[in-house]
Amino acid sequence: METETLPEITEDTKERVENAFEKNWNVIVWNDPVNLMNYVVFVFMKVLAFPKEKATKHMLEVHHQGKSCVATETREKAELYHQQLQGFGLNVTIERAES
Amino acid sequence: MIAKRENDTVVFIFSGLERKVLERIILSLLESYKLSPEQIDRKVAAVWYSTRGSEKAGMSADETADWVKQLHGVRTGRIEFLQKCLTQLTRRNQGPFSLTVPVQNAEGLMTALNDHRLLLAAHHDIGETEMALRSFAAMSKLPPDQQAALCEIEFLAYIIDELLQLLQGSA
Repeated sequence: METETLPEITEDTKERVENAFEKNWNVIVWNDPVNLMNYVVFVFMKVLAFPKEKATKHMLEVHHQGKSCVATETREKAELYHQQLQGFGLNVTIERAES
Repeated sequence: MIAKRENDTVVFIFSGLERKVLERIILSLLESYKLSPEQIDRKVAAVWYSTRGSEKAGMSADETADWVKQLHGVRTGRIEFLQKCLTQLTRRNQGPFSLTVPVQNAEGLMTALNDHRLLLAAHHDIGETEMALRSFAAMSKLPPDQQAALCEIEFLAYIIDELLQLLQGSA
């Protein structure tokens, strides 16, 4: 039986694998005038599993500073949070964290 | 309105006027949820189906389209339950009018009602200034459609607040 060897791992593949596991995506929640403060706290507790104090701290950061980085995750997890938070009506973006 | 928790359900008791307003809100929500993101009011789509985040994340056009489709799926997933709420609200009887919601569905109801607040604000150009109005005199200077929308937004905030209190510990 003929044997086949695995192809060499290229730099490109290595980089893509590293990126997939690197927690370098920020999930940013932006202020808006309509969502209620206690509703935002509820959503943070529900989606991000924050305890009430942490959820309140981030909600106040959104309210006073216009935005809050609620998580830094892998791209896949950040996208999941992004979609869940947006599904609850929050204004969310994800962006690559500056290294 | 009275809201109370009875074991695994949340029970609302509404006056005739409150019931009528909520019935109209749920009807409007159902219509909006059934529309595709392309069919819905442009200003509402910009909030419910915002692609700002996906664009900022560098998603391709196909990925963004899929993203919007999934967000629409989340909303259409609430239709069946909202329809059940509507059936309860439209039951013709002598007051008081009640709406009984299983706790497991209360979060969906709350999110749908919040969606309607976002829809009203987007559709009637209600921003920070209008939301901050606290006196009747200041509010009466707004165009009638904005005044009506603000009243609905506040009514829904009241229901959401009650739901949040009753759901405490369920998050």
